[in-house]
Amino acid sequence: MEHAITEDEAALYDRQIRLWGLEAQHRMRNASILIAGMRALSNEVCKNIILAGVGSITILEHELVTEEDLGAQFLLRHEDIGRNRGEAAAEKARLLNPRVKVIVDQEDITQKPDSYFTQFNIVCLTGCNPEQSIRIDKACRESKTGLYAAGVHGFFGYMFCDLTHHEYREEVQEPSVDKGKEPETVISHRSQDYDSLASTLETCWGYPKPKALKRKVSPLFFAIQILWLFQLANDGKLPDNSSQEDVDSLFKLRDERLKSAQVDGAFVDDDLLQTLVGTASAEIAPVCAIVGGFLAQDILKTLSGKDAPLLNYFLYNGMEGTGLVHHVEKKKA
Amino acid sequence: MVDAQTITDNERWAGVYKLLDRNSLIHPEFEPQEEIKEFIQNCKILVIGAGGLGCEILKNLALSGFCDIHVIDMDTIDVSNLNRQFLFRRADVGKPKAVTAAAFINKRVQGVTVTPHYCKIQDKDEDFYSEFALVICGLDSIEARRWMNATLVGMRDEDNPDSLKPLIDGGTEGFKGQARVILPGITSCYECSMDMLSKPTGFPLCTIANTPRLPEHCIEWASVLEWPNKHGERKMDTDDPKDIQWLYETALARAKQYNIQGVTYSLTQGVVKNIIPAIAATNAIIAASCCNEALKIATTCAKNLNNYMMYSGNDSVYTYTFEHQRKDDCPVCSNSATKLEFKGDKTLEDLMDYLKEKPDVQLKKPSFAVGGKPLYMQAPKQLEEAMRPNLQKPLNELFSSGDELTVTDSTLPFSLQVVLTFI
Repeated sequence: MEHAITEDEAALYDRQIRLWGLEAQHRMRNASILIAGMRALSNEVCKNIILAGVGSITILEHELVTEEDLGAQFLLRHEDIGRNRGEAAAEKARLLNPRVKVIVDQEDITQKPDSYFTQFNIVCLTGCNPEQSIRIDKACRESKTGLYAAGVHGFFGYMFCDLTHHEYREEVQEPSVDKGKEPETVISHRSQDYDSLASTLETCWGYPKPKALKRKVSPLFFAIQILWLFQLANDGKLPDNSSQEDVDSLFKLRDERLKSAQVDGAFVDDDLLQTLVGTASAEIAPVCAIVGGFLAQDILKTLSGKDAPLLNYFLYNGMEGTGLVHHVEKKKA
Repeated sequence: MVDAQTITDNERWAGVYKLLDRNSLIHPEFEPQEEIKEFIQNCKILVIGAGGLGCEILKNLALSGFCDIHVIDMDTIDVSNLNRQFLFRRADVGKPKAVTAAAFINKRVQGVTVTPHYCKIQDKDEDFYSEFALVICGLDSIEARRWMNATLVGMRDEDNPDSLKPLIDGGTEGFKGQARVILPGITSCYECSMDMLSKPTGFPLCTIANTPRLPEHCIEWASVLEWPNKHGERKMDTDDPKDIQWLYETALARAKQYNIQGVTYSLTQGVVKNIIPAIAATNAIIAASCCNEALKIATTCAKNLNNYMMYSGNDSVYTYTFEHQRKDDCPVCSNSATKLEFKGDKTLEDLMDYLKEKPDVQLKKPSFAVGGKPLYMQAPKQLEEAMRPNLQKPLNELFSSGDELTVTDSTLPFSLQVVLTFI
């Protein structure tokens, strides 16, 4: 499905073509992306990539709109309560850019076979049960389909990227050999290799000193992993701060994970963990917009084949107003 | 017609309430209370700009529980806005941004009222600005930011706590952006960081006139030198395709002469209109960062950003957060005068050119007075003409070393006090 940019599109996309060039725009124009889970974070991602003019978006969502969804899911209205969440959001999302094809699939993601995910250029999982994320990541790696897994919890958010093996070009300004001439643009070809989601749950750091550790990972990174570990052990359920049993289980998982990660047990304190848990299902519009902005931009960058995409974790902490990138790798033997 | 619902016990605000209901161990002064929820609902918040940042800011505020929002913007909608200013549709091209944005939000979010103001920020006075609890800026010019900053800092009265108007300022360009929190009189202000701004790309006139090497030089030649030659008094209209076409053809001819590649219609437009590339994602990130701060400041549910966050999406993703320090002699937020050393035998015009270029001053059309006595005034016309000879006089003839000069500029609502010592 090759389409050239029309004059109309050139006028509409003028401000972004000046930034990333016509070739990148062309590649986006021909890409198809899966967005699994259509809550507030996805509303933001869809807005950003639809405005940018991607080829097509498939929204996979089986749940219905509730009143709580109206808080931060700006594509929804009161009248949508009771409708399929994906379908209701898609209706408004299409209006942002009629050129983009928006398809809705109302099936439960657990029913989708591995082969379903390989038809897309990029698979973007939001708020997904970690068991599913791990399974789908494995399938995507086999077919070399790019995968993003992201989520928001109150003031916190995260994004994980697995492109298996990604090749891209970089444009660097280098001074011209000819002294009288202006600096030249040199194009170099690079690549990045990625580790699987499952393997990043097992990485270890070998008890580094606190300063060295802080340069590599953040407490929030582990807190999110601990949340996933709880879900993996409890059929996808999120922990409840008011249940002493859940809290005990959470702290135990924390201690175990930090031990296996060979990181000091005090690195993730109770406050952080409990704040994360307390706001685990809360959608705060600005936080979704920030993480959604980062996520959308990285997806577009991957599609464009220009410049290095995220390698491989991004953590957003809205309390401090910080965004951190961690390169979490499988320990080499 | 839907009536405004209170948000205090509405399930739709469950997300925000989870944030506000928990006891924050991160901000010791925070107490979960009903009053906080009522405060957000009732406080007046002002958004400056309804463009790339403004649309995103309005959306975020409306969905965070703020119910009384005002927005100012003097522009109308253009087709090139539609790749990111998502409250606008094709049919809205030509309409005022503030009005269209307000209408969209009012229709979409129950219980929220956005009041538009289709005018310049300078058209409003201190009485207007003092009505608001918070101001969030999504502006596209340094000049406008300086004006807004100086106005709010100027309004602050230490004896009146209500006069403190937090200013949250966001800015973006391509893949880069920044968000900062300015508490007038407490933190560093916008003027304190003027020297951080990179110089705008300007090409020396001699290069443009005699030794062009880049396609941009050819375009500048066409618009700055050749246009007045061929069109006399008639000013160029950068929105008129015929004028751009003329500039493009003229620049292209010159480029051919010097064997320079790269002059295109698009580049011509970009250079003469000073087009800044812009995308949705960067605006989403920065606008939301500002709104997060608004939420935290309004509710004290967590500590606010202290005080500057920079974002760059060029190379993977990168953010850097730091505390920008106040400038001791900031002309806006400090009481002390700027100390300057200058050669006494240089002319007033030399001093004026220096102040125009100096990164942390950057005045456009400065006027000078010493001890209340005017030395040179840019306006009115008769006064300017009468005082013009002073520009050529050496400084040591006009005043003494160590005197305090008052420098003003019509674009800025503050004066720069300079203690000048001759060297």
